[in-house]
Amino acid sequence: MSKIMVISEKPTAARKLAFALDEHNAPQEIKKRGASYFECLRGGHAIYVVYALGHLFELKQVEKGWTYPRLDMEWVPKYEVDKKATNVKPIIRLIKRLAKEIDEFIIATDYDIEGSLIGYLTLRYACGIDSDDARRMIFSTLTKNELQKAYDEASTELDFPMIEAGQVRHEIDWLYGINLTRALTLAIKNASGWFKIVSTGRVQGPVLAMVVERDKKINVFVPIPYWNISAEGICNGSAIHLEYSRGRIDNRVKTVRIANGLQERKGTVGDIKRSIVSQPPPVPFNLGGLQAEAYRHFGFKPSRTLNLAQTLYLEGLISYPRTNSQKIPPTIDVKQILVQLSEQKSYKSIIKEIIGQKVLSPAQGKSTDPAHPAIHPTGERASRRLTPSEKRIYDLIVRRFLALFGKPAKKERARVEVKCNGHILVCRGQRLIEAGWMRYYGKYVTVQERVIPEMDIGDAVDIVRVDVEEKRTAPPRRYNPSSLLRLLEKKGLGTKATRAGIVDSVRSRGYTLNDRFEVSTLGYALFETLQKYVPTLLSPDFTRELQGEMDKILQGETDRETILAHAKESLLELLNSFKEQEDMIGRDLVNGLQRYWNESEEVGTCPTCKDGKMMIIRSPKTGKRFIGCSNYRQGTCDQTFPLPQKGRIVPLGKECPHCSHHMIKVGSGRRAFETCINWTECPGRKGALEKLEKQRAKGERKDE
Amino acid sequence: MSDCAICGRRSEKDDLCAYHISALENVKIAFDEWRKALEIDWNTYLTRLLDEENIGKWAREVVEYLMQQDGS
Ligand SMILES: [Zn+2]
Repeated sequence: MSKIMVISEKPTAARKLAFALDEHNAPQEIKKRGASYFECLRGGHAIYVVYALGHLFELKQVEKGWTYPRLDMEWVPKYEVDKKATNVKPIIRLIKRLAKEIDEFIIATDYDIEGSLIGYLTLRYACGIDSDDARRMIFSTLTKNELQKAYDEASTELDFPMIEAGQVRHEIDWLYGINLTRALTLAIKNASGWFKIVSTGRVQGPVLAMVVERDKKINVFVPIPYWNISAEGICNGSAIHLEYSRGRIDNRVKTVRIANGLQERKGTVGDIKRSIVSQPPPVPFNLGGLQAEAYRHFGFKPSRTLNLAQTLYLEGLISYPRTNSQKIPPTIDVKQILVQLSEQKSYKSIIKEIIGQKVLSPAQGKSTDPAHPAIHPTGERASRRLTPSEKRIYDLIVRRFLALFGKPAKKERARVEVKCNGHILVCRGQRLIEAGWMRYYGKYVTVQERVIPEMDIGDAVDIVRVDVEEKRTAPPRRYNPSSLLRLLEKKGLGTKATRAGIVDSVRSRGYTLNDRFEVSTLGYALFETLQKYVPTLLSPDFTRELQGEMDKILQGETDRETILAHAKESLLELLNSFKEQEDMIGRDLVNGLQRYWNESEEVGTCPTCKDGKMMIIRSPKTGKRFIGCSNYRQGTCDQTFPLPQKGRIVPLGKECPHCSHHMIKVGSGRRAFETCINWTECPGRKGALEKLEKQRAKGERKDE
Repeated sequence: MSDCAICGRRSEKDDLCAYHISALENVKIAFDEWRKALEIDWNTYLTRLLDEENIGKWAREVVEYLMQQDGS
């Protein structure tokens, strides 16, 4: 009886594999000191299913010293680089021990760049096996059938182009991340003696640049007034809503004149245009599409959606989510999936209708992926109760899948012109004639119907009310995690596997203040310095070029060594020019950091330690501002006061008559009010507190 | 070489940094529109801008700076 080791990516996937491969559907889990593996029997062979925990190995510099340039690296067990990663130790030990008795190795990690690399590194550094001797299982869902088929038809060769592409991406990210972060940090240290880690990376620089460009536009924005006129009319006994046909009006006097000219007048129906608009079904989900839709409907951040989808995949409920494809290829048995899904009550009647169609051909999108189809349900039922969030993502994926089989939706649009006293008003109507796919997609699509009465040319319209609304032009929209992710996707920055993490990191490093990507002074300091001295780091060209080279590896047009050598060369050039300007770079960053720390003016001496200064500080973590003692950094005083989060704060340099704390002005213009920093406790400030609560409630309503 | 009177960045012109210069330009350009729309003068305009919810951070700082200059 020969012994076969199957290497999977995660414990849950290992369990699925073991149950699929064991002939009696009863694999044994053998637990060994903090790790485990599954033993199965199949076709007279003993199969050991082991698992990694994502990456077990990481890159580490060969030569010692926290300096730069450092261009040589090696793969070492993760716990050597990351002290917290103690959980991988027993796993590596177990795989190493088991590997000694194994006759054949099969890699069964996720079939993509990262998965292939995890499998390869585990084989090479934990099993100590030459990769030419291993086979590869290829699958897109963790269903029993597909796993058995993937095992029986395992490729005799590993996917070397994917492994090489993955390896070189890690190597280059490591090289750029380590060296540039050290260059920046050391420039600050040499200029000021402070040790403040300022990091950047291959993709992070261009992302910071995009976020800063948008932030700048918002910061210099000045709103401009304009007016809208709308009216209520009666036509043939029914009320109709009318809008002034020329849209925005840029002058108040003119607005009033037009409005007065319409007040209580009679109009007549002029031109009538009706059109039928057909809206085809949506395309299948790729990861970006799912993330955008989940953000829109549930407010889930892209990284959260990815995690939830990953869990559903590991449960065998959906196909592999890290895909770029918007296609459901004919090899997928959609009928079988639909039949299985119809066992779930909420989809039963819709699926009955779909299966009744002559041909089952799902709508297809344009994007493709070499390794996986679009995200779709497998049809299998959950073996446990899903959490509410998992259920939402699952339902969204199923509903989208069902919608692919629907007919185009049809809407009728009408535009009716009403002439009145030399002005033209417009009445717009819209109604759904045929819901088509929208019924299948359910609550994830809504059509705003505007029903209008029958009207004919020449019909009389009584204007019964005229409304004038004064408005302001709006600044460019801020990014949210989902829109930024979509932009990265559009610009070809990062990969489907890394984008969500990059979006999170811009904030977690303190370069932006909140989920709305407001750039902090630190973010500006870094951006300005890089822009002045090493603009390459902010340009998307370099990283896009690398992405292109990785694609060439995948197509077998180049190899890892060539690209790595090239990347080291350009990095070295960059680092040399950086070193030459290190003094200036350091000085500029230090100035920026000082602004960051002092930005917030001093409010006065600390009432507690009588030595430190009370400063307005923004928490780099939450982005919330508060007042804290400057001796906090020395660890000698931790006095803080809360601050209202909206409105500019100006210290007033006087004391509160009620409690003698420092006074500040909150906000500006007519909405400004004065208070003391002790406002939440001060006996004389009950009014200010209530006012703030009211403002906050108003602000929140607006945010909704 | 002096610093921006508002934020301390290096000033490019008239004691303002590149960011605050571009905010000032926007404030000036928008004045034409405001004047057309509401027939108001420069000082009334500046005061009204401070009540604008969506005015950008740097634009607001420039307005406050201009008003302060004017008052002193
Ligand atoms: Zn400035």
